[in-house]
Amino acid sequence: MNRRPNSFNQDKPTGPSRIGLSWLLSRRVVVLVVLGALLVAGVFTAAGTGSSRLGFDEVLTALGNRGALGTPEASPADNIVWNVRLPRLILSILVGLNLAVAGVLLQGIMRNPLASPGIIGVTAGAALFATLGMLAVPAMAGLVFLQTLSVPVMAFIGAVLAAGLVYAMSWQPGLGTSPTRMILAGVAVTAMVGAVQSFLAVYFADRIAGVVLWLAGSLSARSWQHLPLIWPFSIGGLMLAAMIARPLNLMQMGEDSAQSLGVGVQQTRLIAILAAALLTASAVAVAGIVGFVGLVVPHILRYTLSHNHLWLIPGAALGGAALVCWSDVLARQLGEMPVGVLTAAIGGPYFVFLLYKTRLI
Amino acid sequence: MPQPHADNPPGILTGQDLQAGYAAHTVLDGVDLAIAQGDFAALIGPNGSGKSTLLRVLARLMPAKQGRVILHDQPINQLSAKALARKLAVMPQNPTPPPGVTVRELVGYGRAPHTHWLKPASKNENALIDALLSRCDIRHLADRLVHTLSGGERQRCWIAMALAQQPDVLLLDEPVSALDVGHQLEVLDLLTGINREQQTTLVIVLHDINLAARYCRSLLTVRAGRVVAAGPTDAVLTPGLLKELFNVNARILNPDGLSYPVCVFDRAEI
Repeated sequence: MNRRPNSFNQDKPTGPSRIGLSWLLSRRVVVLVVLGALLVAGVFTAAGTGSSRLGFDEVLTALGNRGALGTPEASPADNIVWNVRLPRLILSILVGLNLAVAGVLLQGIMRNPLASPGIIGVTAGAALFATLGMLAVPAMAGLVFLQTLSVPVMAFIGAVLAAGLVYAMSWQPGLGTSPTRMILAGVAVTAMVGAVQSFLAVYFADRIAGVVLWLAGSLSARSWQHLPLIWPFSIGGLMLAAMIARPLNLMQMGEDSAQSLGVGVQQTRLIAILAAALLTASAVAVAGIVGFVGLVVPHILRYTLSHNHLWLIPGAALGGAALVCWSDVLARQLGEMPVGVLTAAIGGPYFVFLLYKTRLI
Repeated sequence: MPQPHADNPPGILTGQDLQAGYAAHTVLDGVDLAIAQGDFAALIGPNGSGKSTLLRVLARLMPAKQGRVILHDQPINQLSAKALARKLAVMPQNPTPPPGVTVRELVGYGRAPHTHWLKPASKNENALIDALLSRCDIRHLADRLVHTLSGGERQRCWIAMALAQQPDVLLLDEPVSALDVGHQLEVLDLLTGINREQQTTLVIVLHDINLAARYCRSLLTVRAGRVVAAGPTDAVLTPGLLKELFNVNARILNPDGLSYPVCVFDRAEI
């Protein structure tokens, strides 16, 4: 019956779980700045390391010498940076960005930190159809160009089909889709797709010799030609992600709450899945399966940066880019190891460590 | 702010022949109801009678298989999700506190139906949120994380968030069932105040008949997916009704010095 007077409570010292707004703000900014610095450092390291080592200033000079390319004035460093290292490192950045943002979107709509392009079957679907693309267009001398075109297109079809199949399998009339059903459907689709993939790998081993390396996730021997296969999708995916950042925040309260705040829950889900399929498929098309990025990066950032998707999406873009960029530097140092092997080797244990630290298991 | 409709008092929210259910299982079997503008109505009935389903259908969280819900003079199916959210707010039974969100942010979420994804919150919005934090007595918790709060504090946060939508009608599904008696009274006092001050129409699912008798102006009783009785609390609340609803023998007392009746129950013999 009696209302406690507000003035009594307002100036009361607050408990230990109080988090000041300015502190939160500065922490978020600090994390973003650190991620940005990591990425810039990664770019210069990636451009400088390799069979010939280049210093920071040499990389800068080479970057400024684009006009000299193809002329006698071009130094070996200019050629190495512009023709070999730059396309590869840009690809690594975009692959990391795509996978991490796809992970944020999928975790956001499913309210489950285990959701990721890998778990939900999107990666497997993209990989299977990309393999089919390689089979359909054998890598004969004259057809190399056709293959570089067919692989990404097929990867996208596979990603959308897998996402659509998962969506349809988890959909119940009148109730829509539930996160749990979606993850179970994703596991089922991944298993079925994996079976077909293994069948192809065994029966057509001679015709798709490169597929094993590609499936392991590799960025070796990538050039400027591969860039158009990914950057438009990165931009499109980021734009869709920005559009649904606020609805995703509301959806963390559960479907009913989000819907009663005017969020179109099914539309938001559909946009998120489409964006995740675009981002994942283009990453798979240029680099194969680079695992764990879409799972670990968003998860780490949820705890260190923010649960707010307005911060999380740009943060994951920076974090994913930095992770794959540095992983590729390390992979090259380790004798052209597939970068996907490395991201899994780094990401897996860190994920377990994080689960243990946050006492989620 | 909600506009009082003095010339049009009956039925700000009406349901006509509502039928709903899950798969082959029918939960609502032809419900007709009318909630008056400014009412504070309790929705009561035994477990499994369809109270929550009715609330979900009224809020369009679940489609009606047949019949329609009319808000003001418009079928709610004709409204966009945002337009509906500006007029009608729902507090679900167990809302999930989103991780890492402060009380102020949570209340700000209630402004979502009034904002566009490109438009940031304005100064006015912040003043409105401050006023709501004070009104719901959670201003001192503004920078705390919602999931660290106690049950009673959380309920006040959810109510503040729903009020930030500036709805004409607020539906609440068992907002006090998980609270101790002190916090139950606190939440219901808050709701009573809001109902009086802002003429917000409230429909609240309650299990405690005595709380309904004390706080609610009218009762809407359901059993087996049908309305049993509806009307002013004094007129509707009878031993006969309670027997029909809950299979209990009830005595309804009017103790001296109390402005509301008190019910005492015994299990009815078969």
